[in-house]
Amino acid sequence: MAQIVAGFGVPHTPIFPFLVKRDGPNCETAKLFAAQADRLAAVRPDVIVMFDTDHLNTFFLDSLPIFAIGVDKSFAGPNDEPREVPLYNVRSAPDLAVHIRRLGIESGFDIALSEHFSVDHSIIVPLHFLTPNMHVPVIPIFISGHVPPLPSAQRCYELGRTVGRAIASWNPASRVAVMGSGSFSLEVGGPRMMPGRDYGVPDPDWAARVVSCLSDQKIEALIAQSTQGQLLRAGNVGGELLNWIAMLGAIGGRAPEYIAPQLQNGHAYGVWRW
Amino acid sequence: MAKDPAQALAGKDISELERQALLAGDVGMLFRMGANPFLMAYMARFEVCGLNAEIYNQRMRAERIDEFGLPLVVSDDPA
Repeated sequence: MAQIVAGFGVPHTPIFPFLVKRDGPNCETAKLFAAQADRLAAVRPDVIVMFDTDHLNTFFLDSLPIFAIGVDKSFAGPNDEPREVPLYNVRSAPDLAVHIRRLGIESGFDIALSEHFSVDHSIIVPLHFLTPNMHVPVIPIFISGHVPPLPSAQRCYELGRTVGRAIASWNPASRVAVMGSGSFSLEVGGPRMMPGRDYGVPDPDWAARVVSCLSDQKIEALIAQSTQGQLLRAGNVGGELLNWIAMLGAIGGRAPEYIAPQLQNGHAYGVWRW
Repeated sequence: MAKDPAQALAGKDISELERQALLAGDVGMLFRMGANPFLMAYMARFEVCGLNAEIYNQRMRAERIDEFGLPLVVSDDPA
């Protein structure tokens, strides 16, 4: 049977590929991603399941599911053209994606189906750093974390648990790594930008509390505090924390190997291995 | 939108007030009318309607907001 072998929490800042190319492999961001890439390679995943919030590039305001799963043999991205990121074609695992969706629906989650889709930087930028050869198939599970009303943190955690059960019931013996993509406190293009920047970190204290909860395995407390109001106070993309929470649900009550914060950016890099 | 924004917006299902705000790059007004700021930021990225990163930043940061980052003043545009 398939087994989940690791969990990763990743940021997806679209300018990171440009900055890393400019600043070289010894810059902080490059080293943080490299550390995760090493650990991902060490667990030898056959498939990556990534919880992600699309930035209105795959879906749009006129058709916006709360939960959706990508089902296709492959998908392209990024469709929003961040600098210094080539257009990739990423293999996927449609049979497992169909299995996850079916079990999810049977468990009470109305997971929409998306075929023939492309993805944006929020999926591709982490893969650009962690699997630059794009040699591991990826199944994206989309959580609507930007446009209110947002699904609750508890609901997303339960979605993760359901996905974890689906993976465990998948017959081909496969090693599956689960990822959650996004930031804890971030405002993009909104009124809480910093002067002269296109982003801001409206609630750095919240980002620090999230890191603390993750490090100390206080997941129930994290879920309880991750109300829609708190996520919105954290920034117009603060709901991306829901992807990390879903990932935590999938991997179960595990202690992190480490959480490396970049609080000036309102996010962190997390690894769970066992 | 870059070459001829008026032509690009012609025939679009938007109110006259929205049209004027777009052509003027009045992102504050658009924000108060409910436009998604994440999407509006593309106008600055592609420098349309008189916007660039600096101007966009100044106009958005001038908006009065509540604790959730939502506009305090909601436009009464009938559209």
